[in-house]
Amino acid sequence: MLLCVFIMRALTYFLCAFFLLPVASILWSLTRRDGDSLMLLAQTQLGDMAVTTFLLVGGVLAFSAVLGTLTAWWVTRFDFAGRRFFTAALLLPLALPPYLLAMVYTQLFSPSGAVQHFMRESLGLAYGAFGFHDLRSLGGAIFVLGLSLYPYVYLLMRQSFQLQSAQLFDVAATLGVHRRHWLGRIALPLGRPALIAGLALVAMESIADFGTVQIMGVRTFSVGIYQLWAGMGDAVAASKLAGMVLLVVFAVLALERSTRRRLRHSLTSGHMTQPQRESLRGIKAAWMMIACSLPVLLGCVLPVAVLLQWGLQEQQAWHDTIPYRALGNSLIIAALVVMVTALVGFFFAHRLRAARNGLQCWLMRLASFGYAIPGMVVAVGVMVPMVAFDRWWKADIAHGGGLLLSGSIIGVVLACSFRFLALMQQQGEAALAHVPHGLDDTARLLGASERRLMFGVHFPLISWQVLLGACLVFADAIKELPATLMLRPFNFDTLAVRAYDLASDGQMGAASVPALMLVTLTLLLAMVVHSLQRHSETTAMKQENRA
Amino acid sequence: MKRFIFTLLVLLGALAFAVPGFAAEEKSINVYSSQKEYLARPMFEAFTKQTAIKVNLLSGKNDELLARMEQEGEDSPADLLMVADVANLVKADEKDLLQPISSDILNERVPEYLRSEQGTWYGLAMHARAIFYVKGKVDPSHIKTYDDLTKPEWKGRVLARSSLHTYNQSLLGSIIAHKGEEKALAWAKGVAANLARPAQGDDWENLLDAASGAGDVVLSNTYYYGVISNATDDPRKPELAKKLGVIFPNQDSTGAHVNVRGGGVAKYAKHAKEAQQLLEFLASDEGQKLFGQLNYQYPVVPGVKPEEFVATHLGDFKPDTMPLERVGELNAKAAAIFAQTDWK
Repeated sequence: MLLCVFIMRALTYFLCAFFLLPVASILWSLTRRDGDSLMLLAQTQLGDMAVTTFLLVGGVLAFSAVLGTLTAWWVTRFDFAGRRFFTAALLLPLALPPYLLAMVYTQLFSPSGAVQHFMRESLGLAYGAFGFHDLRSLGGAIFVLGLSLYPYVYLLMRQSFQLQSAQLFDVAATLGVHRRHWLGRIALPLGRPALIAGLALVAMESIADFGTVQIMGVRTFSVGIYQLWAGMGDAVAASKLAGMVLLVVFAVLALERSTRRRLRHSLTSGHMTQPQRESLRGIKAAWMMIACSLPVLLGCVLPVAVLLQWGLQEQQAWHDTIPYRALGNSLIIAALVVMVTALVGFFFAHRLRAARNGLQCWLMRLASFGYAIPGMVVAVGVMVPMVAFDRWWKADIAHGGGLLLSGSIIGVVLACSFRFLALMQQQGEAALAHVPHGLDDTARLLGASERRLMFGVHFPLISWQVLLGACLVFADAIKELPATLMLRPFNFDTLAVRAYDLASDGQMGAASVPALMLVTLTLLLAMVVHSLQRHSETTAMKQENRA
Repeated sequence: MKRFIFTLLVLLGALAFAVPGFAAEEKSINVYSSQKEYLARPMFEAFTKQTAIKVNLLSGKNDELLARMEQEGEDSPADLLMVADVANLVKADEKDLLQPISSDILNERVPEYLRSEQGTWYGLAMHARAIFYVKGKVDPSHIKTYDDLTKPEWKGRVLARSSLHTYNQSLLGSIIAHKGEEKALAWAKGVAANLARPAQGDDWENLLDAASGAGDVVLSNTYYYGVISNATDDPRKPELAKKLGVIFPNQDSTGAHVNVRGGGVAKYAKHAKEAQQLLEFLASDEGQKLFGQLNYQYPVVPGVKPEEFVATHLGDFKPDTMPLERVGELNAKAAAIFAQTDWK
């Protein structure tokens, strides 16, 4: 029994240390010396990069805050034809990685692209007469990222609005607050924690983004890190810049946590009723439908349609073996990442359930912060120890021979697992929260070991949520770009890497092939997730009705 | 349960390690190439047919390949490195990634100014950095040299890619080699003042944009013109390409600045002999033809006819015979000079 406890503890510490290794290696590199590349960069471009990153993040935050909040409000407070469809459809842009949107829109709006061509030929406007020249600018990047990331805000705000009881608005009405002001003066202040959480996610994704800004020619920190690593070959300098970005991310996270703690007090009084939706007819309903369909059209339908068109035009690339190899590679990586995160995430969720506080809990929470850290930064953090290990292995153990870790996909799998652990862990924790502790005690009384408890009792009870988590992690692993780009062994391309590579070379036709494969996978997974959520909601309702 | 987990972990480990490492087989060489796979494969397949030596092709961007080889050091599986632009070849040389070889075939067929003095790298396909103009808007007789781009009549009409790219840096390098740093700085400033928009995009994007009205004159490598004229993914590209004409600068003086795509045998190559064989094949008549075919580049070997589109639409020109090695060595200086201008 004691041995079992010891093993569990040791395993916890070991896994935490392992998962915290990337962060530790980056923070350590801040103390090392690098070549002069960072200095050179600091003198020439770093200032511009900082300003650009700041402006980009700010713009995307504003865009997604407005779009996400408004759509969430419309979908919760009004009733119009197609509302149920839009409630789910507004999440669709999440299925498309932002660099695919960037790919499509830069091509469409380029001077030789379809839009400007149409304006020139059919409308007779000269070049530059319609106010913009190209979408490849900061404004264009803000537009694309905002369109791709607003669903985070939408989702969290929608949840928040749904939890706001009717009584609040009834009281407001009696106090003379007009319906028009309900969003601004009641719902929004109440929903602040959700808004901040959503915006924190958007901020972290914007800082982390690499593919979009590269394709659109916007030079942010992630581009700088990549330039230092690939262009100037200075891994330590890249690590240092990554470290600076990491500190910024920590600051954002800390800010978000502290505001959430302050606003924790609950505002519902036990009994909650859904407020009545305002029913819309006629012109108003039509406007609402148009307004709700725009984000879906621009963020999902149009890009997929354009990709389909390019894909159908492009005959040669479909007969190539490369995209299919990339498909296989994407699936392998995603499967491995799901396995690792499922095992570790489930284990951590189980441990967190058993021990509420203490060092272990703190470490496990820290280790699951990977989602906040940019993929580029994680990649650098994984690469440095991996190369060091390989050198040590070659020198002291194997005495010659090839590179062990750097030549394999372990780096990519680890980096992705680190980034997506939180997804799985959250699902595990939330699901286990519904399992009464009494069940654990009973099982232990009957002589079950920890392992038996974990796999024989808990796992079957939360299998739906684990499956849901697995789908989410799978989809994210397929879409992942920067870490895969940096850590993959030679000749190992995933769909994301192929699409990005070809797109940044302007080969849109060829790029559409891996892009379409990617989108098909993520949309399929989105449908699976949607039905899984519906299933778990109905089972939860059934359980409540029974209780 | 235990057995299940155990097998799972074993599978995991096996899978992760088993994936594409490098099997150094008999009769096969590993080539690190920055050329697109579908462009490089036909040449290598022809080589395999002739010699029965298999080619394992690894594609990547120029600087990524160099950084990778540096990191791998002695363990690098690369036998042959093939990159674009002499600056990258010289960089590879300076980083000690290549080994000198002595090949009579290569020394005979590749002109001296297109290969390194030590025999560490050889240029195998050539292109010029030419000036393209929009027909009807520009009188080609008004631009005869690179210097003409700085004339005030071209203000707001020139399109060029970023000065951070090696193609522009090599052009500036050749100007430094011919005329010195001061004149080079003046030239760069002059062109920057005439740009229609901040330097951006790829050469072929600037070509298409010019044809769409964004500018009148474009600095671009010749092969991009071939690529867009024969593009199949978008019918608009060949249409727009037809609106452009080509000017080879400096024909009455030093000749148009040229650059190469080439390669060298890796320093720690395990199959150096076979790698040399591949280089010699690429310098043969058949190799030169294949190299130029999908690429719209000129052959380096004098006497070999260029590809059909290149011959008819671009034609012959007088190249600048300044040794390219010198141009490559001036890369850092060129970058430093560009940093002093508004050419971003």
